[in-house]
Amino acid sequence: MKQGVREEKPTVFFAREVHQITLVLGKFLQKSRAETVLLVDSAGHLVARQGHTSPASEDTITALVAGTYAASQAMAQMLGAREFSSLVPCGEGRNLMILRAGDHALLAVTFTDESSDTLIRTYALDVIRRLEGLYARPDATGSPGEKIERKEFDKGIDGALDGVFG
Amino acid sequence: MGRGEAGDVYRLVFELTARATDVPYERFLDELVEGLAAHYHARACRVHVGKESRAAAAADPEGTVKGLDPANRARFDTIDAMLAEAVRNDGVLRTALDLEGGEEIVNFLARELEISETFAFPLITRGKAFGSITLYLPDGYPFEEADVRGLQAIGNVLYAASNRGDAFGVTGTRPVALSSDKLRAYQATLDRVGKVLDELLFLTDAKTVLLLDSHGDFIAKRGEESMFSSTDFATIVASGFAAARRLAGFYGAEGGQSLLHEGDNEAVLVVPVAARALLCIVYRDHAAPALIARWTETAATRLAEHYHALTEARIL
Repeated sequence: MKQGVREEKPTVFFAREVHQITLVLGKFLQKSRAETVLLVDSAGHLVARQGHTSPASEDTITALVAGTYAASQAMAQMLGAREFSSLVPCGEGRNLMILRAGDHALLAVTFTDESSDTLIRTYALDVIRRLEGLYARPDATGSPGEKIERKEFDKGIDGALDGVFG
Repeated sequence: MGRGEAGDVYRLVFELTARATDVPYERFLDELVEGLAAHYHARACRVHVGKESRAAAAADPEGTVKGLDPANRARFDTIDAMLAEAVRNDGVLRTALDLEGGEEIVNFLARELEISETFAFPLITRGKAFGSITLYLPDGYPFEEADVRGLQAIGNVLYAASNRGDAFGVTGTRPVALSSDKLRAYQATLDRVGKVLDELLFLTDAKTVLLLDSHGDFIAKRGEESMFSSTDFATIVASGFAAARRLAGFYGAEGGQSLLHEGDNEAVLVVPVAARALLCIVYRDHAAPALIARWTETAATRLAEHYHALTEARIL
């Protein structure tokens, strides 16, 4: 059986890393004038967020972000492309952009007409470079006590997906 | 359309190319040069396709070129052919001054035709110039990026037309004689659906146009043969769209939203059809993605009119 999105091994982020990531995301929001930015691991778990409060359960939002991204990657693979980013218009001039952030995470950005997709993409690529720098740092480790354990989220998110799709 | 509205070229391109499917190729070319000449208030407009030194179509709205004596008309034709060749060779926008003997040519155009500006735009598709559009203007015009992109979009349409010939014939097997009126009506609807897909493929020069129902069941496809199963692709498109639509719903969208997946060289646009089917278009780098979106949405609206047939249609 093929490995599905929900079956991927959970990525572990340490509290110190999450703090640094949150700072990077905050800077991104200031520069790009986006509304919200979420960093989601490829299995659909929220790693960090900045900006407005999500309009629904964050677990549901992140699971749907990961689902949309997984479908776009499957499409890219079939078409022989390296990767796809996705742009979802959300009405009233609001858009959601989903991009890959390194090997293990996704960036989901909501923005309005105040900004533009080109601007968002440009700043997002800068954020992704910074995040990759953080992942690659040799001191990017922490004590076991600092680990943000995410396995317990799996049940909750699977339940949220069931709630969405019935 | 006012001449000062340079950005309006998109509307002009849309209006012109939307007609492309209703008229023969030669007439489309004539309408194209006449439309461009009128939009830019040009003395003359010519389009070259391929390596022919003779223009594929020419507009001369005030009869200025026609009024030249034979020797000067031949000289004008030579200048036009030189510009077209120069643009086709390197795919870069040229003016009369860029040609060998540029100043003399500019003086000739000003003296005999009262032309002060000449712009030859390359028609580029897939990285290669295959023709040009030349505008001969009586005075300066503030060309914007939108003008260049709009003219490039025409290039995509012309390329598709010149390479596919009769692009709009509904492809497939020869129609079977149907005895029942109901079946004949059903077949006619299917043909119309196929024609909409053919037209969209032609206008956008897309790789593939796919129609599927919102549950991911494959309905119809036009375009290149692919290495993968269309049924599998349809399932993935529908699942991605379902997740994106629900996501958009949480942020306030009220249905009818499109979804765009963009890669380095290719993009996939998915547009809902009557909330029950999906129209998916896979295209390569295109000069005017906004036009592709508009064409696809127009096609989706037309397909929605045939929705009842779509629910049962299975056309290959």
